[in-house]
Amino acid sequence: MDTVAASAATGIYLREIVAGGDITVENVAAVTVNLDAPQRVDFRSSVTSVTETRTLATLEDLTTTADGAEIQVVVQMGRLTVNQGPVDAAGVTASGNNSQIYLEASGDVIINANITAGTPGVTAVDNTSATPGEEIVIRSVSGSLIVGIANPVTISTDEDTVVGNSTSGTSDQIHLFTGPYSSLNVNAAASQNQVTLNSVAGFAVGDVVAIDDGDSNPQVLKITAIAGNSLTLSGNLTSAYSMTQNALVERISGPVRFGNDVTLRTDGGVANQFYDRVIPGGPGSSFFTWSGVPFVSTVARSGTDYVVTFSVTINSTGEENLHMNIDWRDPTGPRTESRDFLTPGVYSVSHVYTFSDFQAFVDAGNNTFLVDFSVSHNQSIQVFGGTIQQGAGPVIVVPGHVLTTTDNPTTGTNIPIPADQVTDDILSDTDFHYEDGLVEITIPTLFLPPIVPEPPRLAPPAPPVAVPNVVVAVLLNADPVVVVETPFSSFSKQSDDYFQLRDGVTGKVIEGYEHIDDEFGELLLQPARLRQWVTDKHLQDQTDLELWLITRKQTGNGAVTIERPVLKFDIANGRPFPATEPMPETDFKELKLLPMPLDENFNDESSPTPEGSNPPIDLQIPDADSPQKDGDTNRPSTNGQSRLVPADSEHETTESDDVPTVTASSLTSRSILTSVAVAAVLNRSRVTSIAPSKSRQLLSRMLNRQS
Amino acid sequence: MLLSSGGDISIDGTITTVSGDVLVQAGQDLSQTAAISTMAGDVGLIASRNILQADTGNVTTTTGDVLVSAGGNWTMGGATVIAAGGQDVLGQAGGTITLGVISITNPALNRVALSAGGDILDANDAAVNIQETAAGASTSLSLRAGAGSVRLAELSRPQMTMRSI
Repeated sequence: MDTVAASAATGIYLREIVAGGDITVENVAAVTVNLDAPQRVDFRSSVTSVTETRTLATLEDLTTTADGAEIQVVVQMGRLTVNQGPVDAAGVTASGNNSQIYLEASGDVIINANITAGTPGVTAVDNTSATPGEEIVIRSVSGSLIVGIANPVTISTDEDTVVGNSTSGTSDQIHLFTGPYSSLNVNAAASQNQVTLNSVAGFAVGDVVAIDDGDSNPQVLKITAIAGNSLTLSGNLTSAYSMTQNALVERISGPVRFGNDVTLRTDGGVANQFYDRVIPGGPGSSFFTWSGVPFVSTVARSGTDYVVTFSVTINSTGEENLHMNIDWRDPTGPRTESRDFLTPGVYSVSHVYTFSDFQAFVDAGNNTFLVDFSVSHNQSIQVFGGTIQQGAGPVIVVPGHVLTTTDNPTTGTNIPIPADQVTDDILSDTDFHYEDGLVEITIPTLFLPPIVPEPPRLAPPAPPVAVPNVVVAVLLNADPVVVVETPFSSFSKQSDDYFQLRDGVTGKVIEGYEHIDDEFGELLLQPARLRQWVTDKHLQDQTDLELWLITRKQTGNGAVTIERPVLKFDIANGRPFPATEPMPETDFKELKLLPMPLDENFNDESSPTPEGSNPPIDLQIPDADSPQKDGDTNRPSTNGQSRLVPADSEHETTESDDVPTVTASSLTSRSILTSVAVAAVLNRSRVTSIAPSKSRQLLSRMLNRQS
Repeated sequence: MLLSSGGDISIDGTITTVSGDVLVQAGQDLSQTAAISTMAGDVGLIASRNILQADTGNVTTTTGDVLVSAGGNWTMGGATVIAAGGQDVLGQAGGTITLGVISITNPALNRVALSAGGDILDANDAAVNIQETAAGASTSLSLRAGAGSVRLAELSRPQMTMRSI
């Protein structure tokens, strides 16, 4: 049979057997059969011609009209061609909703007329279980699939041809295949890599095959082994394929050639460009514009996250709903993302990485990393073949054998990417899953740690619970706390200071004066107070009395007691006087004290020693009752210094040379210095200030240096 | 030869002519169990109601055309053969056409036109329904199944199954 045309309401099923050869769908001329020879012999032996004529008019195309109709034409040995008729550009039309068209030839399949399933202008009938959408399958088993070479061709399941009205939610399908196939004879379960066919004739190790059935999308894998009628595949099946859904395995191998004006259109999208295909190493302009080098991305901080963005030009004019799959290699996910582009144009594609995501790459030594993506025509349009050529363009070998995507579905050891490998590939820029787009992401040199959010406020405390009445009274005995001194620091030295009055000769503590309170004992360093105290205590005349400062401290090694004499005095006539000490028998030269400028320890020469007393010149204990000149007579001169010089030495004569010289031979240098220190401290101390402790510390340091 | 009846016609004996047309007209049903053959004429089977051809009810014309017209159904046996060498075979039925084998033998041009108000069906499963015997001839086929379908072969390929949502 050379030419066929058919029309029916509910379906057309034709098969050209092996002996039939090629077949073409196109216009068929009218047929008329005229029987005009028979003659009827009438009753009177007359004869009348009986003529019967029937005509069936010309017919073109394969056409069905009812919803759910199917058109199936199979050429078992030869070529199938679909040409336009004289009436219109249609070739095969199943105009009812949810219609299906299947065209197959063992040889070439040449489509020069439109193939349409569905009713144009009728929408909103897809995507229900009762009306699952239209499907067109065209297959060349061992030849080429040639579409639109003679004239423009549209292969469409689109019921709504308004530009930009594609919806990615369609269940329409257009599948164009080149290659043999065989049905499964055993159901194939998911998560395993073997399928058993009715026949493996035409299959070989290394072939790229697609496993398909009525309710699953094709999965493309490679054959790694053949045993009997079983194929071992390069990856596990992601879903089950059942014989009840007419599961089959297709070996994708043949060439596909498109004319310049070919449109594949479903409710889900439009495809028309297959030339200048993006291939590894690029460049290319189909699907997206690719220069062959990775896209440059920008990184912008957003709160505690980082937004990575790159721009991509999605091609081409007239195409709709191209689909991007991108592997962001996000260590904490979501790792992969899909996106549809309704119309061609320049799009910004972004992804949000967390601080931890970037940190993982930095820790792995990758401050710059690549992510990979592919762009496909809408999933409802799939063309499988070994090579693709459009117009006068070159024949392009497509490694993945899926011509409607830039992706090679046979790459990657595991597809989809298992969750347990999510973080593995931050160490490598070679394990890509999508071809051929690459985006370079450079992690900022300085990226700040995330702001730790303010912790939630604590719940308000529970209201107090009524305390039960105390039924047992507890009697506590406690010593009252005596605050000796107002603390001026925030810590305790755990020390205790007090004074003792001792016999300077025996060193024994005089009974009754073992513990003179710190504050009171310190006051005794003032001559007037000392004199009043001696009077109040009715102390008898005696010599060599000593006032000792005792300090007890608690240290890490235990208690430490420090004892230091701070004042030596005698009592004569019921009044205290500085103690006299024997001059050590040495060959000290006599020294005399000469006034010097700014001598703080020397009495103002304008202040003569009061009569009736004979105090040492450097420890003049003023009489509380005696008048003072110029205020405090104990205040040292501010305009002179003193120095000790040998008495017999020659010295520079000054104005003070006229002052009677006092020799130091009657005093010991130690007691002089000690007395001077005590006097200086006392002069600086004020009773009402917090200074006593400071002055006492100063005194202690001086005494320590003395000792 | 003309065989005409206002009622049913049953052909259970062979009809053979050397030349000239053969026309069988039945006012009601036409049943054929024996062969009709002619060397040079056309053959016409016309019935106001149904035409039923048994496996032995073949029609052969070496150089003529064949016309089959039934107001109701036209039913061929699976092994029934209509062989025509005159270029054209035209069959029509108000109901269903069920085909055995139509063999067209003209070495240059062959045309088969079938029209049914209902289905055009296959009576012989995997065997051929319409065949040409001259490899070099130009052959065309037009099929019309008004309210029904054309099912001339139950294809062995996996049928498409609509994808579930």
